[in-house]
Amino acid sequence: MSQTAPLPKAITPSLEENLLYLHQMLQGCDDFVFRPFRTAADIPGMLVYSILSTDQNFLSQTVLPALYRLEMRPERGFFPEAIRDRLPFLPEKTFTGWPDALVALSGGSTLILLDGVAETFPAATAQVEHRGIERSETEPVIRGPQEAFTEALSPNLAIIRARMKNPDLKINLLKLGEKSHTDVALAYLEGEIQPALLAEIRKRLSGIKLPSVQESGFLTEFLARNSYTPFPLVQSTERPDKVIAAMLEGRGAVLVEGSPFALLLPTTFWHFFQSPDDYFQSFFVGTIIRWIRYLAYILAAALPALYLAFTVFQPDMLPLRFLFSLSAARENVPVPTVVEILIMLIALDIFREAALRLPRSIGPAIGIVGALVLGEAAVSAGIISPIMVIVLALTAISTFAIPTEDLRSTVRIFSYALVLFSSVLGLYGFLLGASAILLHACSLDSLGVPYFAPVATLHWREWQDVFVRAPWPVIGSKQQKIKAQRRGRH
Amino acid sequence: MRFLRGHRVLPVILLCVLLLIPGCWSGHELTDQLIVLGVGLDKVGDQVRLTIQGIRPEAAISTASSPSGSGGSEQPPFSLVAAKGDSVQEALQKITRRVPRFIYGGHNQVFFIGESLAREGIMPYLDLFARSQWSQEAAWVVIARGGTGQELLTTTNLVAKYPSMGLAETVRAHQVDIPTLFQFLLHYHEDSGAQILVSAAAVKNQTAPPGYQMEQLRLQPNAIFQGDKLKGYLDDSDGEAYAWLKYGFQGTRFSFPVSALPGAPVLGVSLSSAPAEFRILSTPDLGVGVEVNCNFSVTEDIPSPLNSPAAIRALENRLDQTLSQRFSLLFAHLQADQADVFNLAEKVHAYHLALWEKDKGRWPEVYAQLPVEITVNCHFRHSGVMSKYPGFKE
Repeated sequence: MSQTAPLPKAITPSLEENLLYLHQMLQGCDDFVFRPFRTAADIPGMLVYSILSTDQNFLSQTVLPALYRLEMRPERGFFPEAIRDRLPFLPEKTFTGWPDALVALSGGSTLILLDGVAETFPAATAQVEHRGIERSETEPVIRGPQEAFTEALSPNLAIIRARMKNPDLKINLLKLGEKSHTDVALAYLEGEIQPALLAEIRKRLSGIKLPSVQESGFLTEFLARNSYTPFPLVQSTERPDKVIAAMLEGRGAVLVEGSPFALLLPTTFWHFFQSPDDYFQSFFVGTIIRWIRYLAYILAAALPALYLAFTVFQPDMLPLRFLFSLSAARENVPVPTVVEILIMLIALDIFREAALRLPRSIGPAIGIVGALVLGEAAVSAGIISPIMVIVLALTAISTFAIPTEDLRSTVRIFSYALVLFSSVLGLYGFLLGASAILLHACSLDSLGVPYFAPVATLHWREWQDVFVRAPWPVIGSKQQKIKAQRRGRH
Repeated sequence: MRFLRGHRVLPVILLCVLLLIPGCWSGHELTDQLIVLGVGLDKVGDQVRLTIQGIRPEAAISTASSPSGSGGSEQPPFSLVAAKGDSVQEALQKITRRVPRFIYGGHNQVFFIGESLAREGIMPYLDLFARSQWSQEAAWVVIARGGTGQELLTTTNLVAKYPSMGLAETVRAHQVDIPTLFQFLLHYHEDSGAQILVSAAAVKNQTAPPGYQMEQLRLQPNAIFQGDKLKGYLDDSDGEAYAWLKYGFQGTRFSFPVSALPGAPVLGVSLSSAPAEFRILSTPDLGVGVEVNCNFSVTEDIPSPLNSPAAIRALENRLDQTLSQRFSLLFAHLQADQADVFNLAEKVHAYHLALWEKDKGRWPEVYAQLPVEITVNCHFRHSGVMSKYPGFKE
C-alpha cells in the first residue's frame, strides 16, 4: 500500500474520491477487482473485492442482481438503512472509516460503494479454501472420536457448538495481530468458569501486541506470562473432545484462525498426561495406562542420567551380575559414558527431527534406518555399547508414550540437563537436578492456578483424576473445578 | 535479566553451593575399574600378602558371545593380582601401581583369610576394608582352614565361572550363614568377644568317580574366634549344632535312629525352627537356659506307622533326646574352650548388672563353669507325602 497517499480516515460521499483513494491504497495489489454497476435508480456504484478470497458465484448471482434492482435515491433519506433492508445478505455493520473497511476487504468481504453515500457496505463473500476435517495426527486415540480441528476457525467452533448444545457455551470473537487482523475465539462455559479467571484471560488476550498471529502457539507465552520455563504452561490440543472436557472443568479455550490447535487454560502439569482414551475405557485400564505414562515421562527424562550415575559413580548399587554385563559391554568403547550418552541423545533428536520433516512416505523408513542400521553399525564398530543402545531406545520409546506433544518436546531438555548433573556428581547430582526441576515446576502457575495442583497443593479430593482415573459415576457427579485449585494462590 | 532479580537468584546460588558441598567428583568409568570379586589375605614371613580376584571383562565378552564355553580363551575369566607389604595399605598400593585400573571393591564378595594370619589376629588387616568403601555389609569373612586365602581364590566351582561367585552360589544352595565383615565387627565389639566364623577348605569330592572329582569349597561354621584371633575349630557335629542353635533349623534334613536299641532303623526328618532362645537363670546360681522349639516333618520312609498319638509322642521324645545330646556336647566343648560364642555375657550384662559387675573381669572362667539347661521341644507336623503306609491296614 502506498504510504504517500493522503490518508482520509473517513469515507466520503463522492464515489470518485473514494475510488481514487482506494486505487492508491491498493496499488500493487493485482488481485483486487473494481467492478462498476448502476442501480435501477441510475446511481453509479462500485464493487471492490479480491478475486482470490471471494465467492464470485455468490457475487454474481445474489449481490449484483440485488444491486441492479435497487431503486432508492439518496435524496429520499434513510438511505443506508433502507439499502440494508433491501440487501438481506449484508451484515448489520457498515463502515464509515477506511481502516476497518480495508481490513474487511482483505479478509474477503466485498465492499459496495455507492455514489452519494459516505458509507461502505461489506458483503460477506469471503471464501477461502481449507482442508476438511481429518483424523487427529498428533493426538490419536484408539477408541473415541477421531476428528481433529482444521485451520479454519468457523468449522472448529461449529464442532464445539454441535457437541455442546447449551446457550451457556459462550464464544467471544476478537481480532489479534496489528497487521494480520487474525480472528481469535475465546470459548468457555458460563457457570463453570470462574469470572475472575475469565476476566484474566480476556485481559491477557487483549494485552497481546503482535504484528501477526499465525498460530495459537504465538499466544501461549502471552497467556502464560512466563517464558523462562521449559514446562508448557498452556495446553494445546487439536481434539474437540478435549476442548469440551476442559470447558466442563471450568477452563477456557482459545482458538485462532489458521491454527488447528486450540489452547486450553489454565493448565496444570497433570493435564498433559490425560488422554481421551482414559475416559473411554474402563476405570482400571484408564488408571494403569495413566501410570504407565507417568513412568514413561520419568524414564524419558531420567533414564540416560540414571544410567550414567549408576555406572560411573554408584556401581555399588547395581547387582553384580548386571555389572558384569555392563562392564563387558563397555569394555571396548573408546569414549567416556557421558560422551557416549550425549552423542546418542543428539543423534536421537536429529533422527526425530529428520523423520518429522521428511515426507510421510519415507519418514518411518529413516527412523528404522537410524535406529537399526546406524545403531547396529555403531555397536559393531565399538563406538557405543549395546547397553547404551537399549537405554536410549527405551528413552526414545518412553518419550513417544507421553500423550501430548507439548510435554514430549520439553522432556528432552530435562534429559540433557539431568545427564549433565549426573556427569558431574553422580546420583547426588541427579537428585539435585531432579529436585531443582521439581521445585521449579512447583513454583510455576498457569493463570493463577499452581502448576502442580492438586498434588502439590494437597487437594486430595481432586487426586481422583491425577493418580487414578476415577470411575465415571464418581467423576460425573462433580466435574473438577479449577476453583478449588485456585485456593492455592488467591 | 529480570529473572535474576530478587528472590529468583537465591535458588541458583543455593544450587551452586550444593554442587560444591560433596567434594567428591569421584566418577570412574567402568572400563577404568577392576571389579574385585574376592580378596585373599595371608601371612607370608613377616609380611601380609594381599591377593585380589578381579573380573576380566574381555573374557566375559568372549564367553557371552559364544555360548559354547570360554570362547577359545584358555585363561580363566578372572585375574588374580597379588602383592606383599608390611601393611594391607602398602600391598594395595603396589597392586594399584601394577594394575592400570582403579581397584573397585564395592562389589567384593568375600575376604578369604589364611589360617596363619587368622591365628595372629585379623583386625589390623581388615581395618582398611572396614573403613573404606569396600562392601562391608555384603562381603563375607571366611577362614581358609589349614591353607591360604590365595588358594581359595583359585578354587574352581561347578556352578560358577568365578570362584568368589561360586561361593555365593554354594551358600545360597546350602543355606549356610556366613558372617559378613560388618557382622564380624559387631560381634568383635560385644561383651564376650567370641564368635564362630565360617571356615572353608578346598576339597576334592573323593566319592565321585575319577575324572569328576571337582575341587570344591567345603564351608563349615566352625572357626572359633576369641577377639580377632582364631583359637581352634569345632568338629563337624558341633559345627552343625552351633548353626542350628544360632540360626535355627532352616528346613534342615536330619536322620536319627528311632530308638536307642542297636540296629534301630533310621528316620529322616526335616526340621524348622527359629533360633534358640537363651535365658540367664540366676536363682540360686548363675546358669543358662537354652530353649529350642522346632517343628519337624517326616521326609523319608517311616519304619513303623505313626497311627497313634502315643507313637508320635514317642518319636518326638526320641528326637528331643537326640538333639539335646548334640547341644549338650556342643556346650561342653565351647565351655572347655571358654568361647562364649552366643554372647551370653551381654545377656548377663543386660539383665543381671550386679552379677556382671562382680564377674566381668573373670567372665571366661565363669562361663566355663556355667550350668547349661537345654530344653528341646520337637513337634511333629507332617507325616510325609504318603497317605497310606505300606502294610498298614485301615
